Amino acid sequence: MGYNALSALKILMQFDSILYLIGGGLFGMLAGLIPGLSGSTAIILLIPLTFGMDPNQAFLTLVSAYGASTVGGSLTAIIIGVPGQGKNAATVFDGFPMSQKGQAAEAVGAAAASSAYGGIFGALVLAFLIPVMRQVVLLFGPPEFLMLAVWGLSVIGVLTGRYLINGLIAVFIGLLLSFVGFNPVVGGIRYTFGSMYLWDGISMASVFIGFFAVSIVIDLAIKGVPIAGSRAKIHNAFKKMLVGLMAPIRHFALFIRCSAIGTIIGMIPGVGGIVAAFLAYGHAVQSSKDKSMFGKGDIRGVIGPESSNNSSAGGAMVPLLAFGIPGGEATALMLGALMIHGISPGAQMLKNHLTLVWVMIGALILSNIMASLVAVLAAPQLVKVTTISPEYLVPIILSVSLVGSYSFHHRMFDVVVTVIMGILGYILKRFDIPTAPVVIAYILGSIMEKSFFRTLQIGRGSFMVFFHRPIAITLLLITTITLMWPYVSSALKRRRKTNSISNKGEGA
Amino acid sequence: MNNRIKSFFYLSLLMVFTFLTIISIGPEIKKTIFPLIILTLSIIACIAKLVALVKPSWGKVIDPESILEGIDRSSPTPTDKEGEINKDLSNRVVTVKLSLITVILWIFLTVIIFYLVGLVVGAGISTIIYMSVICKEKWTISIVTAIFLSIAIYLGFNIALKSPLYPGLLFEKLL
Amino acid sequence: MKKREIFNLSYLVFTVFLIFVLFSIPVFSQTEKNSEAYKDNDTITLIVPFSPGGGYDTLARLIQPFFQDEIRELSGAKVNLIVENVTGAGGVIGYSTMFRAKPDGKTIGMVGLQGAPFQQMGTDEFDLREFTHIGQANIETAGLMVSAESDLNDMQDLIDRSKQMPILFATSGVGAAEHIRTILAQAILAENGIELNADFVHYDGTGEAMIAILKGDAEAMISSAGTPFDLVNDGELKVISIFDPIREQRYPDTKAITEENIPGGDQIADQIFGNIRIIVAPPDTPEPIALILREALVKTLNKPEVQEMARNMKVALQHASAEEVAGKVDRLLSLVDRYSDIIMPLYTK
Repeated sequence: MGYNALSALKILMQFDSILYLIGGGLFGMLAGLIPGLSGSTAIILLIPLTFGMDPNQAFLTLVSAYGASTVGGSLTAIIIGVPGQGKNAATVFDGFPMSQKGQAAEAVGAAAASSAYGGIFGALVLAFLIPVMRQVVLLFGPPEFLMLAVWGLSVIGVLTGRYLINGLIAVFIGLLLSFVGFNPVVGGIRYTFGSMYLWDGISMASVFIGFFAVSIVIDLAIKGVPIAGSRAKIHNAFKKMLVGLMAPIRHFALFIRCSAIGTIIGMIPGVGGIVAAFLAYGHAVQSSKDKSMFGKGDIRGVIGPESSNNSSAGGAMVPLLAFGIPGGEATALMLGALMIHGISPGAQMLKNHLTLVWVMIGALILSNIMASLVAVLAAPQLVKVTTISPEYLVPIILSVSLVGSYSFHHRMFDVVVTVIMGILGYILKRFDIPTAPVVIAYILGSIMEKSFFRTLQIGRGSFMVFFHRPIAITLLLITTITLMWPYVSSALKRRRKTNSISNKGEGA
Repeated sequence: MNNRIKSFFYLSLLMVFTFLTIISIGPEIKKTIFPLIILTLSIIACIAKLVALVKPSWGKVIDPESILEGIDRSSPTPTDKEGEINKDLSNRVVTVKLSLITVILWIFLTVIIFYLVGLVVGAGISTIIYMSVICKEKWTISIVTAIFLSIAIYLGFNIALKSPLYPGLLFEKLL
Repeated sequence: MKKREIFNLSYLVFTVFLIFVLFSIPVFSQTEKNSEAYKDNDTITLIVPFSPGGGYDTLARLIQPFFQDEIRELSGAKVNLIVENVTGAGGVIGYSTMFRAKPDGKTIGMVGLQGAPFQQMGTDEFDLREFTHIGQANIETAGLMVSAESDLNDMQDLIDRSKQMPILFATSGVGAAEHIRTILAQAILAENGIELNADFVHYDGTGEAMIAILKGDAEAMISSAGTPFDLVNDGELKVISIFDPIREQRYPDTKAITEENIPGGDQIADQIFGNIRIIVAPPDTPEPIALILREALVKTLNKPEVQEMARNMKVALQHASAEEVAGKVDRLLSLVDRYSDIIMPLYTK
């Protein structure tokens, strides 16, 4: 194994390898940046270019694009509040408010650093897991997914903002949005009102771009002031960004935990970076004593999702390499690319092409670092966008976002849905219904429902099968504690208050 | 925002949820079990909210504040005070504030324009309309911005990404 | 209206006109339409109704450059062939798009016959008989896979075991090909007096379904024979029956279902298959264009480089002519018709 690692290193150090690494990475960053496009888009476009290359170089290009795309997506998420890709959506929750406070540079620094370190974490885990990859992937099945989704939903119950019921309604709306379409587990088309285009549900790009981009556009247009406020000027952007770079180190334990969450979730086929980012964000909120600034620009709300969505890339490659079963869309494309180059993933690949595996791991690490460097260098200029007058920003963001939502499936229908979602998102915000839970519930809702019914199917109609699975039960316990904790702690607080009041009363 | 408007909002939500519940009940109830559970909960939540608005004394019990205690409740996004550090006190012109209706109409118009002339040209026209007609910016600036935007979108999507954009009804007929 | 506003309005009209002109220049500067089937710089879009990276997509992108060259040679025009993924509704949106496209030779598509006939009956969005058929690109038999540790070793074992407890089949979704194959097999066996009891777990794709079998969450799956190949080589899965009269080269130890003398086995081997992927053009595509495409397809599939790449990718290329495809389509549609009462409920919920 060591020999292969060394020869992989030699390959990576070659001049043309570095060129491909940078090229693929930049391309991936650009694709990640533009809402509606993603790292997968970059991979699709790069695959034909890699036909003529030898497998090592082909894959270092593709993996590089994959790794770098997440960083690209974080830039738009923070600066204009529109996630470049789905997995950067959670970064908007605290990254954009930081922009609004004029702290965009610091946020970008934190995101870049978290992405780089998180990506390295994921790649290292990938490397260490090589001998035991297969067992790890097999640990998770529908009961575990069900509990993960439920845990995720309970965590966002924590993020309800102002009023409890408002937060619950937000979750319900998100869940209802996710129920539209054909359900492949139970069968049956729901709430499509006859439209064939809603068969697959409301397109994810429409929900994200609508809730984030279009809502922001309406907001900016109405307020008439730049993102960072009417009198903001960006001083010392570079210095502030350096402060941000150190953020993951300052919150090291959180960073490690979130990277771990990302890697593990990434390993689960079909779940992927988006869920990893949301769960990490929820965990960041949950695990902090002072939750008051979350949603208003708490830097931990940037560290969590960004380290997790980058580390999930490493995780997603685990089932791909171990079984040839992709962990998500991007890895599905890589599977196709592997087949085109005549390589069968699985135990064969680990035996015969171990060098290639190391090259891919190396490319993941290097591309994350490179993308973060680029982000950091470009940041001082990019954050100036937060001071541009909305007259320019509004039409540009609207057009690019709507074009992006079109490109997802090449359907004009999606554009209309995006606009509707945007208006819905704005209305909800005006009535104090937080949009973060809506988006999270939209993603987790379908996972939860499908996993629930699959668990029943595995148990042939009985849910008892759930109780034979240790991981699922552990997650259930964690979820219960999460849900009960707020009530318990506030009850304890009230107890203490009344005790001290009665004590005071007696002393008077 | 007064309670009247809020009540109207929750009432509308209630009607939407009720409508969805009605269409969900049918012969194949298995596929709508989850939605029905969620819809029921949503209806209960809306009713609770309406009650809390109508009778404030009950409201405190039904609709407690969340566990995020001790923060500025007046806004879910950073308030001016919280963002004070980076404010520069020099004078900057506050640009035109628009009404919600105008913005929404403009967005609808943009989509219609997209359908007619396609995404590339439509982006440009939408920009011009926003900047010059609505915000009354100088025409030269808006035209230049629009042209740059359209070219960037064209190059970026049609050429670099080989992702052909909808050409619009007009150009389809011509081709 | 005041003078200034009229001025602004005319400015607006003028600019809009200017933009139209600017962007119409490339549109209008095209060369004169000639009477050839294809002109230089025409773009032919090959619609793939599924997402990138999957079997259809990989096949399409594999043949794309060669197919393009052959069409160029045969038509004498420098055309571009691009692959476009139009996904949704399990492929139906792609099929629907192909069906309604203009029959000018600029749109063609790939259709999977293991699903399309059923989807046609279920959704009524297209008609396989009306497509202008170009030809078949690949065909594969169906195989029955189980975990390598399972003690089922052939079809008879499966049937016997199902009498004690129904076999739990994994699929890639309700109404997906694996689901349909199993239901059809059940129906055919039932007609021959054999009871195969089955329960189902529906996943989001064949990959997830295979993992389920590896985990033991599900017991079996009837898929295209090539799907589990890698995992079989790794010793994780085994294929215990091939739904064909002859054994599959890749699994030499696996019995063909006809060897087991199960009543209905021959019928299963005849009517249930893994994959048949064909290329189609919209209905009423002019004959000259269809001829070019058909011949180009044959030549592409016969090219040694294409066959080599297909072998590497373990894609089973096999050409069949447009007439043969039309025949298969008819047979399949009557099969669907025959079993419509067990198939339709899957779609019309």
